[in-house]
Amino acid sequence: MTTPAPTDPVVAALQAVLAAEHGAVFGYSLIGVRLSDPGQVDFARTLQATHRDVRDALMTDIARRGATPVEALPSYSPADKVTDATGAQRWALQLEQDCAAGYRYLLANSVAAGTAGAAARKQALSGLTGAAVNATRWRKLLTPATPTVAFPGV
Amino acid sequence: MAAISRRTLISRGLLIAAAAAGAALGMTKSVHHKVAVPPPAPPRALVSLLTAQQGLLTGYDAAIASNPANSALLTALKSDVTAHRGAVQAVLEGYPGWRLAQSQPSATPPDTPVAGSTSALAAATKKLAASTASSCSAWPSADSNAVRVVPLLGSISACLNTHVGVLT
Repeated sequence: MTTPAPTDPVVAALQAVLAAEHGAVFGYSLIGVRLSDPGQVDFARTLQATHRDVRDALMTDIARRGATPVEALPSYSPADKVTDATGAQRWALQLEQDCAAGYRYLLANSVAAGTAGAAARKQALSGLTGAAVNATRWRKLLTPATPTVAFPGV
Repeated sequence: MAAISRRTLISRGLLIAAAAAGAALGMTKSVHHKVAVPPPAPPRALVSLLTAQQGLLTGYDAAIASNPANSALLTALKSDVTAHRGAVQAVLEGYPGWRLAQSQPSATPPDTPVAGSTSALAAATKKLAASTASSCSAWPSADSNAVRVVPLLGSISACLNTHVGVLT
């Protein structure tokens, strides 16, 4: 196995996305417990499964590129303590925004990779859109009058 | 008949010879004029995006006026599109041909206003999200502004997709 240059921009960005996905997998396992609305619980569980799949695929991809995937932290904490459903929604929003930022970073770094970054760019665009749509669903519950942001991932 | 001095004769002779040499040189050597070369036109995808954004904003104005119950939400979405337009304009300023294109009204196609209903806005937004995503994917990495344009187009496309979810 060849070790990629430490400055490989796509691998560096994939690692950033993976770190965010680790956080999402951890976070959603606790968020579901704090939510009371069955629809929201289902949504959180679906997202947890989706983020787990994405995390696993990213780990495989990074390893295939000759790098060691970043490991998950022992635990992740939200910006504010989660004590109720609203706090859980806020944390979920934060997790999706973190993922969106990672994917936007990947989008930028795919440019530096030239034509070799085409697949990464496609992956980044899909991930950014997915995270933005998920974030909007949580934001609709928290701030219904302003459920969107102009530049997801920024 | 007036007497012509030898000195006058020589100087006139030299003058005629110099004029003849100059004329001969002028006829044989090409003259290079400096011609102003216009800067390359800005990327068509960005100009089209700007035009479509303007059409969308016109649609939002009509929708907000005719739908007071949803005006707060529609105004929030409109402000996103306004921010997109500003960002795209800022990027276009980085292309030397943009200002020239601005001074030629016929070069910029007129915007097509979107009808002021939420369903029309949703349809137009969906279409614009898809075309923006295509531009993002296809943007040449070699473009000097690519590192700025690609993430911007990605964010705009993602945002427009969230709008579709809100409008439908």
